[in-house]
Amino acid sequence: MSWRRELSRLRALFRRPKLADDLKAEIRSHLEMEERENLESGMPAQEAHYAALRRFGNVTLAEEGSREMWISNAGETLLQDLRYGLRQLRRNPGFAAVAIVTLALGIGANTAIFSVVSAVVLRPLPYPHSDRLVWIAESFPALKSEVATGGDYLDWKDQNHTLDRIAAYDRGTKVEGSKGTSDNFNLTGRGTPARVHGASVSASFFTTLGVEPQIGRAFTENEDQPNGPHVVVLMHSFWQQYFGSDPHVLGQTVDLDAAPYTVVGVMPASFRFPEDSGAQILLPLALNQASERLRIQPQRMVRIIGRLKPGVSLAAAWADLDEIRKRAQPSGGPMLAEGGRGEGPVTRDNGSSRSETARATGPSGMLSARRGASRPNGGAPLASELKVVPLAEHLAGNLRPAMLTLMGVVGLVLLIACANVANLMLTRASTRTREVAVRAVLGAGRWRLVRQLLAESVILAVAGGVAGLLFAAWGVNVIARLIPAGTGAGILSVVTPKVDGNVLLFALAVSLVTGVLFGLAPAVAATRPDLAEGLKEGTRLAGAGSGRGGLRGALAVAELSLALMLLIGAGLLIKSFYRVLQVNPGFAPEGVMTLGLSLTDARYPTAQQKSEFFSQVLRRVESLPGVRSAAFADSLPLSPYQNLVMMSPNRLQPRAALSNSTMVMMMLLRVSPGYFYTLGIPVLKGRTFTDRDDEQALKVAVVNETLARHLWPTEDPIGKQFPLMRDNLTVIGVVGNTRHEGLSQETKAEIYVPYLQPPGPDNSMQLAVRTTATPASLVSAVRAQVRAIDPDQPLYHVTTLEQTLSESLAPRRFNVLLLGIFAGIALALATVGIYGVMAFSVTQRTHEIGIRMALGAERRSVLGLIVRQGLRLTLIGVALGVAGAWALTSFLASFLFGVAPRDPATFVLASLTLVAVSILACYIPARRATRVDPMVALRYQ
Amino acid sequence: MAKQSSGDRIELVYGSLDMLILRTLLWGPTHGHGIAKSIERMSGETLKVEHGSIYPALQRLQQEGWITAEWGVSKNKQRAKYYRLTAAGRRQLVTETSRWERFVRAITAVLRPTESEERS
Repeated sequence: MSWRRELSRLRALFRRPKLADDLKAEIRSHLEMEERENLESGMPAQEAHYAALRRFGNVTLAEEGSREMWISNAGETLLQDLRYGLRQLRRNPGFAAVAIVTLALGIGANTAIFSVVSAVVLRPLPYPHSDRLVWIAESFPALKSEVATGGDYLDWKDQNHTLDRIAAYDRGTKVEGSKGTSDNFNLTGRGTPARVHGASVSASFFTTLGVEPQIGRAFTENEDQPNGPHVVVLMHSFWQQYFGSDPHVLGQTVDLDAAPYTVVGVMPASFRFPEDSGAQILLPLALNQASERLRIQPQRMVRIIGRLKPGVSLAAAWADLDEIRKRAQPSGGPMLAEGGRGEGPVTRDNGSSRSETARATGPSGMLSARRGASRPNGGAPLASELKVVPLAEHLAGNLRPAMLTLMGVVGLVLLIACANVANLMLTRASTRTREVAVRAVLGAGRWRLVRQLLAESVILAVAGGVAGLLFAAWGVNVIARLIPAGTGAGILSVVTPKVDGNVLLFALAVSLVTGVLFGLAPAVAATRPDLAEGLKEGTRLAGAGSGRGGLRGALAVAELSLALMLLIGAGLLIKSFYRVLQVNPGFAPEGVMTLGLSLTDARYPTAQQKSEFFSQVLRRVESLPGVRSAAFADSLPLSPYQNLVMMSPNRLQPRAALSNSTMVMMMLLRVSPGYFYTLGIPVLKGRTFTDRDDEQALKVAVVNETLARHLWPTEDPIGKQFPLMRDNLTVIGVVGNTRHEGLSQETKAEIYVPYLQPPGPDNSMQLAVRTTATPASLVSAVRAQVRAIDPDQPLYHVTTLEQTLSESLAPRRFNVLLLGIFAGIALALATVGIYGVMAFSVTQRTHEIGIRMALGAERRSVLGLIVRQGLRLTLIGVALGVAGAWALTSFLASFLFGVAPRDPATFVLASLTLVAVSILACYIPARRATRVDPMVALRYQ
Repeated sequence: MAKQSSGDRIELVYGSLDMLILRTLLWGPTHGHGIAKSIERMSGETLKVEHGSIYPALQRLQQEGWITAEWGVSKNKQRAKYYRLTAAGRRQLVTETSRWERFVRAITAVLRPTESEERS
């Protein structure tokens, strides 16, 4: 009914002058009528007039009273309600504090998670019209990679009808964190030699994203050519660091890999490279257009961003690009190259075939996926499909599901908090029955009463919201810091989660909705029109007020079941984490220092010189005190593999026992002889490499257990011939499996070759040093040894294997931590909830308990009575919670390891925990019940 | 309801005026003066209504949508605002009346416990 009142008030606001005149006229007419009547009854004229006025009372007051009805009220009653609510809360500071803290936890958790979700899912990328930016790639499910070649890019660029712009880039990986290959350069001539991270971009990159350099210009098409001029655009931070923000930077040079590059532009500070790259400089992509178009190997691997023409849908762009893609590969799909002589190792998808790997190995054929044509020896083609997705979605990557799951989790926490406060309100409302009844009888409409009670809960909610916001502002930083670099860092390098307008709005909305949510039921229940009962003294004796008690019980059950769902979820994650920690990594990370070294072709043009450098480093480092051993590998454990080899088992001599002709996929690692000893990888059979396994010696290989078992399940692998590329390798040993890609990743088949044998070491190698001292103490000594060999040689990624291992667990730890915290909060809230219900019930039943005890009931039976009541609620909650968890935990499947989403042990343990905590919460009020003095209880009102 | 010796009048309990106005309008539309007079007449001159207090109440009732108002001319050819009960007003009157009756019963029960019937 009241919307109507508000509406008519609103109307009155505009018609006020007319209404006021109306009222005056009406009152005048009233007075005249009265006066006339008085005259008719025979009063003298003057007295008739005054009698009428007397009878009417205060005219001004009547006018004011009426006017108040039209206008003041919308705002003023609200103010009144709020003031009244505040007064009520001040009178009950304990209640208010508990409610506000509860709500602050609920709202704060939601706001914190929402600010991350908002950054990841909702906020537009910091590029103009970023909704039109798309990520384009060819997805190879078998390789779990999304790639595109320079040829694809050029075809799409020339032939598409749906894109405004298209750009390709070749991003390296971030310098900190992962250790993959990348467009990294040794920067010299500007202080300590350093490793700088660059990204190669096509000339169209800038216009596609819609960004421009702050100083200077972008690359021209002429510069974006092979053998074009050496030019570079600096990122803002690099400009600050190495040029001291010099405004006259244009035309100066930077020495990268010993070659001078001319600075043509500086990007603005606000510019973010569209991926987790930490790029410090931008270089022209310089695709060799002729060879790329002909798909001559090796092809460049690039990443592609397009800007849709206005009004073009994703589907239309997909169809357009897919058509072009199919035209380019008539034989129906790409396949991995398997040249006549042997298999080509495929460079791992790091988007850089040029930079380290391919550049270094040149003719030995570090191929990438090759299209079409022949298919010798029955290699199966690799299925692939085109992917065109919004750039924001691509960048959000795997953070998206995690964040949405967390959002659901904190939503549950908030529901529990609401139920809890609703329960508190109900308890309070029942002590206020009489107050409410009196007010109702005195003419307060029910709506007004409900509104007053609601005002109270909204005040609580807003206070909780404000406190929650503070909590969230702190929490966002913590969460943002906790979000592990690997997980969806793509988007977080572009947008930072923070408490912004969206988040504030969200917190406000959540607070208000929460206030109504937990306030409405109690308010409606409290104002139920059983006034006579409310006015009477002693109604409390009449029984526990089953209706309201039922609502309270239902709320407690809801809290318990929600809390149990969270407990089970957290339990599953904790168990997964535990399982991961149990995994034997296959190597011994303790006391191993690691670092990266990258040689430049300019300084070390031949494989011979590179080998010489690396060998010298090994010799010098191994002679340091505190060093037990040292070894090089092109990929140490927990960093991405550099080389993937596809091999047809048909070519094994003698033919392997494998009957089918599917390709065998394995990872190739180039290591120095001390690798297995330094990393603590056990040798299971045969021997490993020695210094004598060099370029002159017989070509040898060591395989891991998985590969050995796969290729020679029944035979002894030692001495077997293994065809790889142009050579036949002899297998000399079998080593244990390692969890190279992380503890929770499956072990891959691996083949190790000595790094001194052709094709020789990679430009970038990683050094592992097993120490007897603490690894950190050796850093400067190792650095000095490297500097002694080559003072211009930078060291990078200096860390320890233990540290890397710990970081690799960060995403999992993050999930466990967050869900654990939320489940803990949920359990605490639910415990308080059931405690409140039971305590209240005991108070209500004091009289009854008194009678029972007066009649001779023992304390134990009274205790049992109360605990049983609580247990009943708990068990209902457990049943519902288990059912809910049964339905929902499958959403967690991707976060689990070694645990089924419906792991019975976890379900049982979580349920038992809840029951135990809940019984404890019931026990305290129950004990109080047994202390009831029958005489007091019977008199108790 | 309490009886009173003739002469002393009872102040209206706040909130009950609405109900009385609605009740008065049940007989048909009338103006503020007519409403005031009716209430006094019907209560046997027991209830004292300060005529001015009717007007805020009339505004409130209008805003609730329980009555509507229209200018008209009285039998004495005088311009006056006539109030008419709406369907919602009629419903409200029923609710208010039953609530009032329960209230009275409750008060009576408290004041005269021996006479009050056992609560069911």
